[in-house]
Amino acid sequence: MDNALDDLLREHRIWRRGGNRTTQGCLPSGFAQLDAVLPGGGWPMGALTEVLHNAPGIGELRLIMPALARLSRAGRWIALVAPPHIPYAPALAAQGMDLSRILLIHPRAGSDTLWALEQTMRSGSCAAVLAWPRQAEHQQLRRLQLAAEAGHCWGLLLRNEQAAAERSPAALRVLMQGQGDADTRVDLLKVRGGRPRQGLRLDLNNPRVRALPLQTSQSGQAAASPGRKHPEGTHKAPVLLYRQHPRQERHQLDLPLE
Amino acid sequence: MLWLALQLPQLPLEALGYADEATAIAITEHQRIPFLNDAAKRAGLQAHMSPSEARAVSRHIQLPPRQRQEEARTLRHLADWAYQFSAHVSPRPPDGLLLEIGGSLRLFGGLGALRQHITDGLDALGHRYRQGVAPTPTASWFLALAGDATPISKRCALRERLACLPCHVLELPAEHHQALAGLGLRTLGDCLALPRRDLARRFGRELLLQLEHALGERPEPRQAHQPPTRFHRQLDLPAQAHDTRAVAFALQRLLGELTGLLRGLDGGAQTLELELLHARQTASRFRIGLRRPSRDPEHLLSVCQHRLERQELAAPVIGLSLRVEQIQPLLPEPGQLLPDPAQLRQHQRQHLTERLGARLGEHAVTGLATAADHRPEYAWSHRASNETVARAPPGERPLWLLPRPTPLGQQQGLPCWHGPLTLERGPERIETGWWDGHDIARDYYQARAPQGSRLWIFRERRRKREWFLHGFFG
Repeated sequence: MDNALDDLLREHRIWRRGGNRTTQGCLPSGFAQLDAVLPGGGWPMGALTEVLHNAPGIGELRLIMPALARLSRAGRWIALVAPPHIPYAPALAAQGMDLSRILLIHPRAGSDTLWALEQTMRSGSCAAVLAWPRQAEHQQLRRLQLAAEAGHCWGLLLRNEQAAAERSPAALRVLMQGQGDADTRVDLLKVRGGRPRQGLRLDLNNPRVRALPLQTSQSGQAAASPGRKHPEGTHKAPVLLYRQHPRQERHQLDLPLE
Repeated sequence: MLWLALQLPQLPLEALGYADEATAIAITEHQRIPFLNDAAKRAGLQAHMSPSEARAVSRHIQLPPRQRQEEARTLRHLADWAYQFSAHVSPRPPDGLLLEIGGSLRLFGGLGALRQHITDGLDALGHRYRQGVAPTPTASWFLALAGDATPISKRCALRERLACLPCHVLELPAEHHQALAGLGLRTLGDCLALPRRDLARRFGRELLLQLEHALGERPEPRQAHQPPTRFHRQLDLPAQAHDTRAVAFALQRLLGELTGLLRGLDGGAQTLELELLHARQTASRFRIGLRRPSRDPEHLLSVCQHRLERQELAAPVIGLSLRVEQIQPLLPEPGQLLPDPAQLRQHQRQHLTERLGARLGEHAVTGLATAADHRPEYAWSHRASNETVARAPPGERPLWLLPRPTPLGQQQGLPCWHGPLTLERGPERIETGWWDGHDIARDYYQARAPQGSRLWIFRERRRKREWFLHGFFG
């Protein structure tokens, strides 16, 4: 009887406040303040994460970029389902993403989007799946949450901040408000296995760790023997981590205008 | 040498597509019914009745005429399929197939396993069969006709085993059979006990030849079946199909035949052309492309199904046609003791993209790569390639690029986007592309919108010097 109960409690769909939960693992976000408050010390794998923001361009991608770059080196795919604009390859490469692991999916109809999302999340060959749903019903999100669990995948939904009022089965809901680059306010609206927290301040341009862009010489090798040389990515081409000094980011090209 | 003979007693019925066991069917030829199915037998019919007698016995019987051309084609298709089990397949018209299996035993893990493979495949294709295994083709055929499935594996046992077979397995004119019976010769053993010269004088050379072939005393060359380089099959559905599920069932059968042929040729199919035939409309055509040639029936079926799900059926389907114009060599995968997880993932990934591509369209799933060009709109491509990073551009680039620059309004000389913009960094001048007619001359700036968005905007350096929004620093 006890055993059955333990098994039930070990099920990761059951939320126990303060208890030792077995999660599917966590992914360091690259931001120390954020990792400190997230249960397990990072983004939850095998679950949905919602990033809510009021306008494009406030850093919604830079918030997740250190973790995504790290995932892209680990062998599985990063799928972007129906992105609202063009994900710009040079910028992604500069953030340390391995572009050969990115899969862009452009469904035509809305129902196909949901189907494609579920397929990619469930397949197990994608480490992260990003989507930009305009409106989603609770039941649909619930399906996606289960698919992410089944495929051990980081399901990321980037939504408008108005969706904050709706309820959602996502394991983590993050609301972003940007004032300036070095000062982005992040509120954790819902944290499964932890407690919500308001008013984190992050400097998105300077994550604690960041993946360097893939070297050109390395890519030449990879082209000569695709997939053979380092099939796992992580073993042979390690993620290069370094602490960045805030000052280095600025360009010499800066010119005051008028 | 070891030969497996397959005799197909119901081939005339199967060639016409009557797999349905519930309705009584008898094939008519020359005002007789030489073949009938189990349901017809249960209804009280017997072989060699005349059609009018048959109708008198059972009113609901169907009496389609025999079509020998169809039978020959079905037999040829079956030979294509059987090519996966043996390099030497020899059809024996009208209703038999001989396979030299001595060379395949080791590959398939013994006689028992090989026969299991073959019988499973025939069951899946919906054929009835009798089989015989012997060191000579004719002996194996005799065994199949006699319904003796116990194999003869050694030549020395041939004479002893053949002696027990009844005389009706010999392929002789009817009067010779009567003559044999009249002489009291019931088994092949009785024939073999007689002096050969007398036997030949009385019954012609044919009888002696067959006996000598069976015993392996005279060489018996068999023509080998040449497998085709293309695949084309058409299958008529027994009833009109109104949904894709019924179609999928028939499709499964066609794919079974296709993958059998592909295994025999050690090849794979990359492009499948599927046609759904309608009664009064032109056929709906589907072209299904795969990333890599494949011969996995389950994978092919799932890709085809997803492709079919994309569209409503235009009309009820009465038949299916599957065509593969090019059979491509399948790259051998190096055998490994333990499956490589990276390789396994590669397969999963490929199956995922094909499933997605089948439903969403081939161009809906793409990769992403950088390209060596200074113009922002040409510095990336959808083409997935392993060569990353041409060279990082000098300035900072936004994570979002707009497919087309959006014109911005102006207030007091400054650009506006949901309010006046603050220019934070810049300019970065990009002036290039004169060689292909899409030249640009722009000053790029990073600007901040009132609600916090960081934008990538530019000002044209020509004509009206207007402001455009080109990306977001997401």
